[in-house]
Amino acid sequence: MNAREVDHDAVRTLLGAYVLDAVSPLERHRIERHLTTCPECARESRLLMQSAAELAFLAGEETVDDGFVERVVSKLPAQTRPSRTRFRVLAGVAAAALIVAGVVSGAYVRESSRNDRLTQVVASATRTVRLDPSGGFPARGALYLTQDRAALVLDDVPEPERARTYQLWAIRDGTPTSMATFSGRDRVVRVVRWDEGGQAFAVTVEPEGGSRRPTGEPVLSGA
Amino acid sequence: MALGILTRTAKEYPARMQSDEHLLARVGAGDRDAYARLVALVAPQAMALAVRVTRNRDLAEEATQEAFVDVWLKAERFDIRRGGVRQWILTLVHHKSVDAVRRERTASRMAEGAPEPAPAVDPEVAGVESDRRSRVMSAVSNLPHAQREAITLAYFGGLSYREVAERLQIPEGTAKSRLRDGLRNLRGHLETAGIDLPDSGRQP
Repeated sequence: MNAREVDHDAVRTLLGAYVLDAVSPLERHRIERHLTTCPECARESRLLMQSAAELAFLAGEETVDDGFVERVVSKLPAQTRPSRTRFRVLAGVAAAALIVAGVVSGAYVRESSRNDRLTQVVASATRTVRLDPSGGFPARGALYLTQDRAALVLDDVPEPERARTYQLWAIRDGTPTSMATFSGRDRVVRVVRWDEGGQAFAVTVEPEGGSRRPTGEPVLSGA
Repeated sequence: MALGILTRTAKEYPARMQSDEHLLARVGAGDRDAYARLVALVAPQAMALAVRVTRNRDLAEEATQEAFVDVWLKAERFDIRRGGVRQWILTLVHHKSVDAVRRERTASRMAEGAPEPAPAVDPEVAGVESDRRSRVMSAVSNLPHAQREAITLAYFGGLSYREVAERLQIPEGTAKSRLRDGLRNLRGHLETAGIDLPDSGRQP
């Protein structure tokens, strides 16, 4: 048995204690070093960690005084962090947002084909466009673009008025082209074929069936 | 013009409906407003957990604040495949709480040993009874007593596996395996209770 195997066996038996924060700092260091080189232990640790994390829900909730958030914010380092990986993270988060949002609300519905498609598009996105609201529109979200597909993920979408629909546009050289129409409310996810790019993107509200050219001001836009 | 829908919905951005995931994505991009909103959303659960572990409100607040600063610093590196945003934040809170408890214990050289941890299933703290909470409770209550006891001592008592062994007068190896086997069993019970965990269906 070589040193790594000895380490492997020792670490393996410690993984339960590790994910419960029940090891010494020295053991923690040793375990974490091993996890970077051992996929088997890394995987088991991840699974155990997921069980352990649920225990937090047993503690319930505690009232927090009004100044709490302010005190936390005042502790942040002053300078803005570099955000080189911003888009990658955004993409990763959105890929599983649907699934996790379902889990958290306890209303998880397995919609694997739809989620897989979204996950694929978001995972292979070459560009992420954040869509910001204007005119007090309450929704926001992002558009993920690959070579030949676009995934739209929006939160807090209000149901369109009767006989109206939302329409997503790609704008190239000042000319809008329709990418999709959609309705729905709260969380809206649409994956469409799209290989024409665009410098900017916008969502407008249009008569049912959609328009050839936008007739309303954008409620969401991004570039 | 789409004035109808604009006037109908022109109101304060509904923080309540903002998902943890999108908030954290914006935090990762350096958005302080999104951060404040996320902190406000998770703070009640975070404080409850910290108070439970530290059994001291000042220590709990300190640990919770440290954890939230970590959230800010690590938001970019958060990996959704490992689990939910809330679970991740609460894991950081737990870590900081245990650190605080151990620092305190070492500082005061509590010769009388670790304090009795609060029981895992305590109906008195059921201030806000959430569906998920009762599901987790039922999953935990289905564990064999010895495993539940060891996990409770470690997680809510902030004890190391060595201290768990000492407390229960069992060998350290037994303590380690109760914790590990208990968490493996818990996964099955959580799923039976209707909680979907990441990596489900791919378990060995």
